[in-house]
Amino acid sequence: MIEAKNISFGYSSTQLLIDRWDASFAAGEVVAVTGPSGRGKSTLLYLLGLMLKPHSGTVLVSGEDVSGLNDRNRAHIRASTFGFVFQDAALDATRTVLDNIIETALYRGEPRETAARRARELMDQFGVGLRANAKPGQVSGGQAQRIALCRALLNNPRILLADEPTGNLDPASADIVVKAFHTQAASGATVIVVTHDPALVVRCHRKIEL
Amino acid sequence: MKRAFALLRESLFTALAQPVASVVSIVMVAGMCATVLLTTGRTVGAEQTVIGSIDSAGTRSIVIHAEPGAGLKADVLNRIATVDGIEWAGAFSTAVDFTNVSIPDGTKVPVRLAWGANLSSLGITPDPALPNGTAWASPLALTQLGMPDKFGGIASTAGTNYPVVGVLRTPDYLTMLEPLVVIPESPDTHVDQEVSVLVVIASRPDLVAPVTQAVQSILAVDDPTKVTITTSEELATLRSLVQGQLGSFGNNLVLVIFALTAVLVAAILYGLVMLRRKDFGRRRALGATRGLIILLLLMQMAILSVIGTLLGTGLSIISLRITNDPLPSFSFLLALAILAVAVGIVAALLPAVAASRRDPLKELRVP
Repeated sequence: MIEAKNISFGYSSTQLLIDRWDASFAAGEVVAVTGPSGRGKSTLLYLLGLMLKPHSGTVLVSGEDVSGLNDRNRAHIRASTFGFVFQDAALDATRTVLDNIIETALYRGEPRETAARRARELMDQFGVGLRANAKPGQVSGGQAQRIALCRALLNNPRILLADEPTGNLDPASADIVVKAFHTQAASGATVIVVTHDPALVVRCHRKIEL
Repeated sequence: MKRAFALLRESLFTALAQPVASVVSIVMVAGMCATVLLTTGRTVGAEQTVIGSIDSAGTRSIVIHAEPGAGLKADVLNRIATVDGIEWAGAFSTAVDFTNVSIPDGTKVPVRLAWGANLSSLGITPDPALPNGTAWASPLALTQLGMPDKFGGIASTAGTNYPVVGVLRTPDYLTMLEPLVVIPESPDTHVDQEVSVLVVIASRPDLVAPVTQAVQSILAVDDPTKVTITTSEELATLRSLVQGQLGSFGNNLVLVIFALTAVLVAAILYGLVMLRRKDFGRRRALGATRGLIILLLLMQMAILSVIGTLLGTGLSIISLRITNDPLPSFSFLLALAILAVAVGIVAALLPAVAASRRDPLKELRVP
């Protein structure tokens, strides 16, 4: 589903954080990427998620080289093919929960009504259905992460990328998130999770150590 | 269309979600409009009033008086019709005294034959039912004739009679002929009759001098010493001086105000972008293109600019009305509104581009 071939990347020109790295992630699997802090786990996730361009090497999605595409096309793939879950949920504090979840519909050009209908289904599924009109500041950390999960799943992504998704969650909320990853993988998606959480790692199909 | 509406909605909600920044932006644009209107707008209004006063004094008029024997004929109008830059021309014969037929001893009022291609601008409409000619009188002449009903008949001492069938609208450039009663002649009748007054109105004040020269060259009079030409050339010069001085002052002031406001709006928006960089980073990460980020910010600023323009313009007009100051014309207000919105959008361009170039990864790590 998604492959990294010989990719290299560094924030300075003299030191590479990721050096000629290869990996392949198949559809239907949940893969944990672990390792000590500062080894480039999040950077790797953003390279795979087309937010960064590798200095060399290629990223392939369904066999197609997408790392060399222009910004517009990479943004389109991010909006339509990928789902993202960030460590701190990264919700817009000024907008309602529902508006946060359907934000990506605007980037895909999907009608608001269609997106809102699907968003309400997801919110009910993840137990935040009653908070649609609340602001992110009015929900708990666990609820915020479930809301971020709803946003990531709104477009039924073929590739779901998560950066420390359970880092700030209690075990019950973390369990909901992990189950959602497995459900999404079971539907044919690839799920890549960067995590330090051993409890999450053991529940993944595979682990990659950086 | 749906896409445009969705973008507009998103821009509006983003503006509403940042009330302080939005209000500051609206106040900036409103302040810009108010400053322009209460300074330059007031100047323009005053300028338009002064110009109007000068124009009402006959800025564009050329009056040619011909004494008896000068040889100025009514057919001069045919030659004048070939000259460019003329809005109106009319010729009037020597005046003959007439009185109200019902009051033979009443006040004598001068009556003139009149020629002109556009006498209808004086309120004269041809009446085919009265082939021998009809008389049209100004309100002053009607009063002096003792015709409160505005209709009646006039008679000369020689026994010529005319029915008075309508009221003349006397323009500013014909007030020197008051009290004015005219017998309209068709352009091709009695054209060899001498006229005593020829009035020519140039299209623009700056054309008075060349039109005067052109008309003078085609008068074809027998005795030029019996012809006197009075023009409003000095008034036209004064008019252009007034317009030039006030216009250039106003233009410079507007430019300074717009430039200062644009810089302030850009600075505010740039600060706003810095405060919201995590927001833009998230949008980019979730799939917003750079172009979309720019478009959203520009639309947001356009909405705020429109509100600010309406607010600033509305309050300024109320203020000018309260202080009885002259209002600038609608075209000035419209131009100001368009410029104000454009300044807002242009000022937002640089911050918008800066926002679109935020690095998603870097911004999402902002605590």
